[in-house]
Amino acid sequence: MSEEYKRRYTFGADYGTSDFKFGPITCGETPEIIENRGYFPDTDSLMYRIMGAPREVVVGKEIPLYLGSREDLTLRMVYPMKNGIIRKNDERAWRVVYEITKYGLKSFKPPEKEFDGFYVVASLSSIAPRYMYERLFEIYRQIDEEENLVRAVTIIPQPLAVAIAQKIPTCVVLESGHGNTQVCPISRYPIRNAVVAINRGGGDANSITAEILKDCGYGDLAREEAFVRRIKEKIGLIPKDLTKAVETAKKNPERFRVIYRVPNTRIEIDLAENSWTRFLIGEYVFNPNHELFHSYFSRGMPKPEDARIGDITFRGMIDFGESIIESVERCPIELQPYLYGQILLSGGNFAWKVPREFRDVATDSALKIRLLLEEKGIRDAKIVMTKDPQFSVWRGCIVYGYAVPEDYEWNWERMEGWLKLRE
Amino acid sequence: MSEIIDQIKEYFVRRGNRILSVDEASADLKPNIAFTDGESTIYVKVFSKEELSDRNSLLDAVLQSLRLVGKANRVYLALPKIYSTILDGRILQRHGLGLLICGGNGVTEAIPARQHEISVHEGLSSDEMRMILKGLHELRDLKRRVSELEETVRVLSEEISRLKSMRVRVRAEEMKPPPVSVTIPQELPSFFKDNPWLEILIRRGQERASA
Repeated sequence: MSEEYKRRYTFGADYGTSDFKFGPITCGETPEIIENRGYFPDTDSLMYRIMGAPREVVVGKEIPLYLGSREDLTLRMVYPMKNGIIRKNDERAWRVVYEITKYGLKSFKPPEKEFDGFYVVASLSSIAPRYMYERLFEIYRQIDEEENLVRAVTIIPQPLAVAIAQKIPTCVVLESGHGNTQVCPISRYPIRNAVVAINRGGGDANSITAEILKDCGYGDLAREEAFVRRIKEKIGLIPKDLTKAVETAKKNPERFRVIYRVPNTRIEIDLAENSWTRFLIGEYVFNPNHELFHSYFSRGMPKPEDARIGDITFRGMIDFGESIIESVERCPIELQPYLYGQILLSGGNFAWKVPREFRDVATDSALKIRLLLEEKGIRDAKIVMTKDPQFSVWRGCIVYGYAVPEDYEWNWERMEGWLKLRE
Repeated sequence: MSEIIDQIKEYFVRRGNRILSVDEASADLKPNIAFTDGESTIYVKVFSKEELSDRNSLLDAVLQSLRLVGKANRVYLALPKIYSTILDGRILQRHGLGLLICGGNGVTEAIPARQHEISVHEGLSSDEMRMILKGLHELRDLKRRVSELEETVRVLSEEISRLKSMRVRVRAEEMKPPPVSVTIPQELPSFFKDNPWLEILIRRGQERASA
């Protein structure tokens, strides 16, 4: 198959923790997005019967039509990539991956006669173990056998795709999702043995937000994760220095007081004299080691523990500055200054607002990382937020698929190249 | 004889001289005893009463001593006291030969020896001269060979430099990737524009193969 053909039918597939972003090069600037989840409906339910053909798994925009009670949701809704890793024998999760992948490819099946399968660039977390690559290749092979939609496939780590989309060949990518955070240095290739995985992400900021809500008398609301997440996004602040910020806020609670009314409801959240806790929400993501968090741990909030998933150890309590240093110091000394010179922050967990009136004590993610690095003696680091973080990985996949030669075949040692699914 | 030699030794040592091994004396015709004051050498040819049985033997003794002149800075003829009256001292003085008279009162320097400059040629034996000449020939030969080697090294060095530059050129040509089209069509999305990864990724596979 020609290079020209490959470029015309390059397809990107980003398996994010929350969303699945997919689409061919013809999508232009932005891909199609569906939530990276699958719903296993109750086959006895009325809705299931009304919707016609029995389906074991529902994915995409149809999901709301099948949803049952809230209790059902936790049982039947599967987010396969919630932690970036799918366990080998988690068949329900793999089934969802199969369904969303097929959904994505079928959505863009070109009408042209000459079309004979996409060149798919899929992107997984940088900590995805080899069995995930093998299983994903198998899924694509199966879909091609069924639908004749995939000519060749390759898989790249998400941080590499981010670096490509941001047009930076040498950098450190800090990717922070819902369940975890990965630090991955890139120097034209991802430096795989320098990846540091952290068992903390946006979900942990939700946890501390829930604890704060409980302490303020909103224990009933704290049980709904989607609600807690919204509150976190509305009231959470990243402090430049937690001790000073809390001191300032305690001295002048009115200045930091926030009242949030949930739209179209009677619900109103007011932290009142506890408004200083807004700073805990942001700090906890970047550094959970401050003594103020100890009281939450002692009252039962789970402390982020080191966790081992597959061959990867996810660090619980390491702060983001330390994790960058640890990762960079696993790289050649000559390269280290260049890596500190370009640190890319990617993922929804870095999208924190800084209200203008709080700029004396609050900051954004980039400056917070800089401050954490400076504490440890790393000065002049350049930290930037990725542009359009939601689409970065997909864009990187498209550039990768367009540029990597068609005859460069997949190699397990190098973990790159095209895996041809047909002779 | 040994008694006379001991007297002579004492005489010269008392005057600040050091006894030289006769082997150190570089002459065919060796003296019986030799001294040095650190700068010049003194040869003494000693004849005992027994050796001087007749007039001819005395003449022979003088001639032998004269043959040493020029091989040391000062040369003495040492004779028992009894023969001092027989010799005409002026002849010895004319040839620069000193005369030591040895007897019951010890050693008397009857005629001081004249100081001679020793020519290199004079100080060397014919064997030594041969060896020096041979050495000089060898040195000349070595110089010639060193020059030849230097020339060879220079030529080789130039050759290596030339080959090195050729290799670099060849490597550069080998490393130079085949011309690939990275022209981005107008209709491609903005994230393709000025993206350095395009150049990098287009060479994936080629750089591994060349490595």
